[in-house]
Amino acid sequence: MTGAGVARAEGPVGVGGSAGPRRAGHSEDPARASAHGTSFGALAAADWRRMRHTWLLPLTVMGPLGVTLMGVILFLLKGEWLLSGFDPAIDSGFGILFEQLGMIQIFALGLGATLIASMIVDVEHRSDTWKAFLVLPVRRWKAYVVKFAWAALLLATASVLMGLGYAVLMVWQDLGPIPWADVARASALPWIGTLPLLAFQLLVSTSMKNQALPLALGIITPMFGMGMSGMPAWLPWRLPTQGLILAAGGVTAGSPGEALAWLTVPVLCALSAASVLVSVGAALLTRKEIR
Amino acid sequence: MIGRVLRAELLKAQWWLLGSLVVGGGLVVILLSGDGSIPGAGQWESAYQVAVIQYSWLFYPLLAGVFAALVCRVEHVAGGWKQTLALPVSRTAVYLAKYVLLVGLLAATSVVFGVGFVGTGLLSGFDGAVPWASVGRSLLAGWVAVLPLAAVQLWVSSRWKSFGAALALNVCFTLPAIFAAQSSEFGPWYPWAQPMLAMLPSTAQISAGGPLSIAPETFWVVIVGGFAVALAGGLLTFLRSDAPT
Repeated sequence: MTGAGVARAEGPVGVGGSAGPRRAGHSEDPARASAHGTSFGALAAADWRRMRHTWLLPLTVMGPLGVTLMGVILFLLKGEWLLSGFDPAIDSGFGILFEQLGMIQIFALGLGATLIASMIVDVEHRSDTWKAFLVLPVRRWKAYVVKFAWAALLLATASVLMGLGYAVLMVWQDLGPIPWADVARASALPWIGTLPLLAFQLLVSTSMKNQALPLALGIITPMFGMGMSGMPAWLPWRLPTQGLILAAGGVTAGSPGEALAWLTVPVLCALSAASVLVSVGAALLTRKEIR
Repeated sequence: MIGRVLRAELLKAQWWLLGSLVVGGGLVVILLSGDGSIPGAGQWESAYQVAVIQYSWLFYPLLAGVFAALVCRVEHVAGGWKQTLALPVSRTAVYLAKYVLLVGLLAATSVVFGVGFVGTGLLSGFDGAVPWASVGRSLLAGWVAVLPLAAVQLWVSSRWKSFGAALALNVCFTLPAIFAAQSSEFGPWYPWAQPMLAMLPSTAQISAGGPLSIAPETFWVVIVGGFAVALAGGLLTFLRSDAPT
């Protein structure tokens, strides 16, 4: 993967070359060293103020709402066929629902990751506040990690809302008691699987001002990891689907005995891939010349 | 005049991005659809089905939106609309030239996809002769079916500065196609499901005997009608409104 290659190339330079000519005008002033302890909390609060009036927050609500509405359309169109022979005592109502909507949820998550990653850094690109932002006594890598954390939190919120959407659909279609544990898995596992994709998109979106390429990339590529794709399971574009598969497995086989079943290889891959990509991004931003 | 405007459009286009989407997109679909073929008679057909589902279900309609946004991008950046429209060319010519470029890119993507598919098949040594006729019909039908969607996307992309907004709209319309294509009553009438249905016609569709194996009502009402309405609507909006700022 290119990300890892860049990391190797950047690694030694980043350690030894901090006084390189590229950073001449921008390197942190030693006198400010004490201020480098700017807390994550303060950075997060600053980011919140900047994104409060953007489309980020409405988008977080609209995504799960849209998928839920598609569920409504689905049941209006072919609800009778889907529920023919449905017996709440035997069949899992949530299983039927998730089988139909899970793929859409994955697609919306991938797209959401792309849009959120682009919009959360576009604030800085558009108004050239990267410059203003980064001359402040702020560790650049901290600023990057906070952006990732916000984006991940927005996606998590959307995932929780998606779970509520499933619950609402189940109540509406009278699909039996809501299996909250399965709903939680269906919200959480695809979210974890999407984190590497989010990290990758944040990396691409940060590295260029023109957001056309990151957006085009993020809209086209995730679908290659869906369905019957031949892509290796550990790639960021495939991991959301792996999360979905894990969650769906729990729906059918969900017994109390498998409390740790989520801690599987793909999930670990997702978490480590996300952390690697975030670190690469943070390293790149630290080394980046801000024009 | 439209020829010269079109040449100007070709100069303005971001070829590295458009080109990589045209070539890369089509080929990646082929690579990722894997080997879904069943050896023996009909190996070409079974492999084509797997590949074309990947291609036409979401990728092709979404690509129409991405291309539409990219075709309008130069103008949206830094007040380019005012510059372009201040030139002694008619707005109609500008808009139509953009549309021609857009559908040309979509056609090129389909050609790359077709060539990639046939090439992969020949390399893997599929049994039987290359089904040129059915692959060609399918590619042409898919392109015709995507024309109205491209017109809608050009309409919104020429109005909205935000790349994300136009694409979000595209996704909102394209995703329900997953369900619509499975429904025999709703499917023939939902425009965003048409590339898929046209490229992979059901037996009922073929027996209905419309042009390119698309059912006649769908072809004339949804595709031709939708194309006319969307292109005229977009063009009228473009003619009557101020240059987007």
